[in-house]
Amino acid sequence: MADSQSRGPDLSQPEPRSLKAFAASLYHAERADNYFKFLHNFSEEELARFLQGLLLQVGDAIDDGNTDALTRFVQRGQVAAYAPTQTAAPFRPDFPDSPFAPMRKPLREATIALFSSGAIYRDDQDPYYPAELTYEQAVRDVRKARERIPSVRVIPAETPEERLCVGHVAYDIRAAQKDINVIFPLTRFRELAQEGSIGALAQRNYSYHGLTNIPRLMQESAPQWAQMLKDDGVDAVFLTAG
Amino acid sequence: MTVGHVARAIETAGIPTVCVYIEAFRPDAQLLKPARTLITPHLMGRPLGLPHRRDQQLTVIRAALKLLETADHAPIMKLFTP
Repeated sequence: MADSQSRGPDLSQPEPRSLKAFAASLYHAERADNYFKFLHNFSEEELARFLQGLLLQVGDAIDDGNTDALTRFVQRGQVAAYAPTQTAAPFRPDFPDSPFAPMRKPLREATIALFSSGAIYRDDQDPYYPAELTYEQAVRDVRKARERIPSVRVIPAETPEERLCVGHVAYDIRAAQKDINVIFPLTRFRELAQEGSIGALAQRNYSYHGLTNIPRLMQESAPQWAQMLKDDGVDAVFLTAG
Repeated sequence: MTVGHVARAIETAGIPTVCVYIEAFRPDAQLLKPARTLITPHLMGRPLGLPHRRDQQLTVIRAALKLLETADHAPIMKLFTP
């Protein structure tokens, strides 16, 4: 029996008082976990149902050697958890209109820029949180992120993947650290340009930290960044959100 | 989620855009109404899918580019189906 040798719960952490308290501790708190922080949106009963379902899916994934159903289960949980929170607000208004610019060139002739709110930066650029904080501290200090003035990083088209970093404090960045193309597909767009599916990847691509001062983003930064893209002469922009 | 604000500003400047949002943030995109949105059934932080799934990433990108090229009005929102 090797149970005593296996990694068990971290007993140095305080005992949760309830499922709700445990879920709350995942949300930018003492057990911060951006993968499962959505659990804090669930009621006690919803939490119990989700966790029981998760355990069933984990058991099946182990037995079957296939995590597809487990992935789908967690994804459905995220969708359910966020549905009630996405309501109109002063800086998330229910816009009555939608600005529209038609494509003026075929894709195979178009220069396309990447633009992501995923907080991507190059290893010679500053991350999006203060230098005096570690990433883990910045995650727990998430409210400050909403006050920070938006800033953008320019990512040149030829940047090697190994020089790209990710510093977003409000989504789980482990997948992006393993493969930046899950949110900032620079390599995939270079491949599309190489095969002729698009004309070119823009020389200058952009990222910012999506959790930011939204009034400043709407009123100042976004129009300035749009002008930068015009000055770059790009034909279209591919945007991703974390 | 705020990328919709940026997309709206870029469209206003005359440059066409396409946004890739995960399904959990679809309600947000429905409010912000960027011109073209592809909704993917993926996890937060992974809008194009899981790491090292090159074919999956390319399939999502091609679907987004098709939306970019074919949209004749806005807003258009499509659900990505693998």
